[in-house]
Amino acid sequence: MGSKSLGEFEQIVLLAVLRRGDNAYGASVRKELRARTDRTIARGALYVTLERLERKGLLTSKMGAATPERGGKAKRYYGLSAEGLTLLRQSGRDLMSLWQGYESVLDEA
Amino acid sequence: MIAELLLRIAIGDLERAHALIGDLEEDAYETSGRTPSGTWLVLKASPIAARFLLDRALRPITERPRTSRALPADERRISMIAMLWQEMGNALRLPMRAPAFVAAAAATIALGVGANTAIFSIVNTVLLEPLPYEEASRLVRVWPGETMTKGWIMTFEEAVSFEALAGYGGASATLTGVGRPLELDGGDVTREYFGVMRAAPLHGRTFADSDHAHGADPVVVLSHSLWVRAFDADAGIVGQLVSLADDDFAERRVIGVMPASHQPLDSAWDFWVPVRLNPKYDYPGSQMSCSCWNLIARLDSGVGLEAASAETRVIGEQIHTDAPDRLAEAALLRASAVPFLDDMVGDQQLPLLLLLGAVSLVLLIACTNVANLLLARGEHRRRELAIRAALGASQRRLAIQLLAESITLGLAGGALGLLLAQASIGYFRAALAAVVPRTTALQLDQRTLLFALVASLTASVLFGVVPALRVLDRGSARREGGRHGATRGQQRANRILVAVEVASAVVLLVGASLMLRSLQELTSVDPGFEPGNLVAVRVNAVGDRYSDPAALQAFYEELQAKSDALPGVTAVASIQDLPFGDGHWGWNYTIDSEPLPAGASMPGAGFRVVSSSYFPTLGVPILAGRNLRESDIHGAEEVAVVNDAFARRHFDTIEQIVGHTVTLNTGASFRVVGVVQGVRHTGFRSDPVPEMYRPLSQFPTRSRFLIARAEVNAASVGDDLQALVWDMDPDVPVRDPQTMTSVMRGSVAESRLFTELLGSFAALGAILAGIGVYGVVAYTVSRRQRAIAIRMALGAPAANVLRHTLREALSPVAIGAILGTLGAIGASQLLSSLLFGVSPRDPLTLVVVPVFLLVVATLAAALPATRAARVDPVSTLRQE
Repeated sequence: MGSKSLGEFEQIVLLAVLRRGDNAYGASVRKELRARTDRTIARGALYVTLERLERKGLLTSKMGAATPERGGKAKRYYGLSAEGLTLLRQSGRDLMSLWQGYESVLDEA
Repeated sequence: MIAELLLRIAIGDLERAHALIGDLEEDAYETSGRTPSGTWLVLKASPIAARFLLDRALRPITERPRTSRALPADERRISMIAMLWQEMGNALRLPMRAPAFVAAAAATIALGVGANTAIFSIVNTVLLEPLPYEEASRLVRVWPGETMTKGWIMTFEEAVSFEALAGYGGASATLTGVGRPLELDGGDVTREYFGVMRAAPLHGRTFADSDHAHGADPVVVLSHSLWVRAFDADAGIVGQLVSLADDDFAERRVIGVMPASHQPLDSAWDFWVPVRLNPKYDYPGSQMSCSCWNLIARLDSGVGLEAASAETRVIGEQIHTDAPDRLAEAALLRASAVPFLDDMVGDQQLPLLLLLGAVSLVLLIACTNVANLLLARGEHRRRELAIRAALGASQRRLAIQLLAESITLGLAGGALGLLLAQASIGYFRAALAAVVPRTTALQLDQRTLLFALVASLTASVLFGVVPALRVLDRGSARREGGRHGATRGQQRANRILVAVEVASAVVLLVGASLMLRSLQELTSVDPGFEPGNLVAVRVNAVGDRYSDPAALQAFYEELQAKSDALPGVTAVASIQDLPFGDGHWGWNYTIDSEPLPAGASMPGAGFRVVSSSYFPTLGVPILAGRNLRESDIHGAEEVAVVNDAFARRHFDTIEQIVGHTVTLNTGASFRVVGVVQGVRHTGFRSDPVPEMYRPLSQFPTRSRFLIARAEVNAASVGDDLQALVWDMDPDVPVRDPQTMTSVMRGSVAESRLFTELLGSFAALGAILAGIGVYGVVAYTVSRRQRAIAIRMALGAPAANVLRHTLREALSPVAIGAILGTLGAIGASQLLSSLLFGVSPRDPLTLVVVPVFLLVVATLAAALPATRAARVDPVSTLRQE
């Protein structure tokens, strides 16, 4: 399989999908990112990244049922694959271990 | 639709594209609470699509460092799109390498695509866009062959094909008490009308059954536009009485106001009044009212046009059996139910589609010009492409490169064209509004944008394919040994392109010339009167004050006397309906010289009411007998004058009719005292029909046109007339003065506009074709300098070289002119129903146009050919 490390943007997209649980689809993931990171994500960047992560086997996706809202268009739901979860866990651990002992830096921000 | 298409192409997966659009719609709904417009979706989807394409183009580099040969077929397809994408990126640098070429090519395509987009937007707005009513496709015009009486409308209301059916007719009324009196048009409608339209009022209500009852209070529903204009959008007007006067009532109670979104069936309507039904006369099948109503209906669900038409015919036959003289068998043949939109814009279909055809020829000419430019550049490009090929680029890759350049060029030209179309749309809206229905809403919508995109891409392929094939034809390049010179294959391509554009230009010019000659014929027809310096105003003596015929007579007599005395006025006359205007009265009659055989139907004739000064003022000669006189008043003998067509219908010589008595089917009778020359009251196209003229002094009408002949300035006399009337009575409505020449121009406005548009496109096509011929000849000469130099060095005289070059340049022009003439003979048949006084195969036009183009082409070719003949062989050969 492709690369064994995650880019920063890939990582936060995976986290947003994780946080959204069963309700992770394009628009909701973008909303999650906007709420949590306080930055506006270009739709193009998000959708291309979702597709790339899926191609790398880190995300899985399936079409939902059609809904009367959104002009009757169905949602495409995303979820983490086992590999995606492992990789995310790994990079989370790496980050946390790096932060260890320096939490005070976070508080000052 | 476009947004989805874009995403689908970029992502390559319909489901994902669909879900993405859903996400966009959800976002839009959450921020604005509304479903987004198509344009908004396109704006948001485009950058996403671009991102996907970019990602895809870069993927071979970022993710898969493998050769394309190893990829499965599906992946190879993707990598081809990626290649195209990359090459388009490269093509963006083209303007820096060849700015003049890119500017010329893009401008040419912009003209072609711009003209096409503008005309398509008209076709789209007028013919394709559905009417602005709920489920408008189910609205039909029910046409039993004639207009209907109230009783027949009731018969039709029982038809099973329709969910609802209504009769409608025109109404006119004068609104006073709101500043200057307003003359308004409205609809006189039966009870199901608003149900058929599925329209609900903004304030108040629409008509209830009780409003249609005999003796009910007179009520009115206002259009949104009138409500804003005359009543300052005051909702309190509902329930109030307004001074809306017509022949029946002086006041009406406002019961409702329609919303701005409701477009009246006739765009001139400002109000609706209920058709009133008297149970004594109006019952199903009754023919006891004027048959002046049209029928509109909403098809019942599941009922097709065929079935509805069949039922219309069956009911029509019933009516015909009851009243054969009011619904003739011949009229029944046309009985049908037609989609309302078709009925409304049916007349516009042919001219608009012809214009679309004309602009597509302009685009074709533009494409051939660009193809010629590309061919010329192709010579320079060979070396560059050879290097790329040597470095390992496959033939396919080179083809993609050329295709990408064409597409980039086409899209750039198309984008410019879109700007041109956008800039011209305001002009078209203004020019068309009065002539073609529905054009006030003219705009570039999503469908038009898609059309422009498709037109640009089609153009790219059209102008790109021949040059690409030429450049890639390596064999011929090798044969030529890489020398600088036009190859034989290239020459052939050039010649074909020249022939194509000349042929297209001939077709365009023949069409435009035929229309122009037709318009000239039409407007040079003698109208039967002298229109110069005539000005008319419409005066309508409404109100109780003029209910008394004596008061009405006195008002108009005073007006005549005072306008006669106006400075600059040489004569003044009155008539109830203006020549070349909209109103025409007619009656059936009998004449004492010809007793009507039993069972025969009465002949009909036009009926006009005029003042005794009418014929002298308009310059209409009296051919026999005498003119009407001021002494032909009420109480004196009832008299009339007829036109020569009327007299000839009954007598061999027109003098014979003088003294005979004519009786109308109303019972009124009068003696014919004179015969006048026929006037083309109904327009240039139709010959004068049999008409009778009665004196206004014996048949007074409230509304009349006052026509004055001015010494010099007709327009200022018109203003004086208007001021004069308002000076006498400020509550009498006077419609804006119009000069007679402008009324007559208005009657051919549609023909004129069509001719002007077709003419401009033909001129554009001819200019582009001229530029094309010049370009090809100039290019060929410059490429062949060496051959010419050798020939001259071997002793060929300059005149020979000139002749040779011209012959070579003009032979494809001649072939194109012949093919174009043949094409024009076929294409002009399409024009035949629009032509007047000119045959679609008019020999003069079919000869003059191709000859004219040959002359233009000769001039275009002469300059470079002369240059060829002046070549100095020594210096040219030394350069090699």
